[in-house]
Amino acid sequence: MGTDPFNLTSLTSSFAGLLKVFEIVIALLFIVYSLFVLKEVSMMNKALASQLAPRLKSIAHLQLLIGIVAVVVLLLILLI
Amino acid sequence: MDTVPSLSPQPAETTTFESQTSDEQVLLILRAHQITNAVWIALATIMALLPLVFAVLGIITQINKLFQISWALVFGFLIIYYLFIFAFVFQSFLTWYFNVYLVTNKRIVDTDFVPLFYQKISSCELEHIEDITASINGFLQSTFNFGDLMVQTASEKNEFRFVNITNPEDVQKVIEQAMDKHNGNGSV
Repeated sequence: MGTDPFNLTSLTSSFAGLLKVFEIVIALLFIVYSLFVLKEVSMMNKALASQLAPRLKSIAHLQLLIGIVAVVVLLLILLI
Repeated sequence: MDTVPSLSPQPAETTTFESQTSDEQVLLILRAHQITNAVWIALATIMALLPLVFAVLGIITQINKLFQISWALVFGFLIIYYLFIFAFVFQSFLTWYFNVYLVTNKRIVDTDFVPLFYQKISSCELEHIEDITASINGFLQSTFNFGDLMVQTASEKNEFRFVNITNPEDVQKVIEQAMDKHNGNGSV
């Protein structure tokens, strides 16, 4: 144990940077998706006003916030 | 006419909708039975626990020492993974929540909604309703008392299908009573 007979360590490290960038791109797409969801929730809340409407909008905002935080964290990881 | 809170998952009188007229009263707000959410809830739970299972397996078998993948990469992957789970859960809930059927003292309204893909709101006046059929099929529907309600109409949309709603037979009665009152054939 602890050895690397197939030289997998160097193989994975060569792709590590690329994968980190890919993760950031996915997180950015998540932000775009969250914006669309927020828009749709606002639209549907207008079409059907119910007691839960403000909470749903808050969760949609939270989703957007989580996406932004994720991008920031992933950028920090990339820079480390 | 009184509202029927036992059939609605939320108080009907507190809900309004965009095309509602001033003298229109919401009698019922119907959604698919809560049990229909069990599939996506179970799937999301399994997905959320999966990395933990892999981590434990990795520690037990010590396979992680063989590969030596950087913690940053794994952490980044986990962030993306849990973003997807969050989005999946929220989207599934929204799909359930906004696929709503309304019965008012004037019409029935069917809202079909799939976030980002599809949204359609159809309505039919009560006088255009021709036939209503409630059906409860199978073990699960019989156990939890939910099923479908088919409403045949003479309007542009020939058929309204209320899918997996709670207590479809009682909903059928409420619609029929509302029709009677609306058409002036009886009192409720």
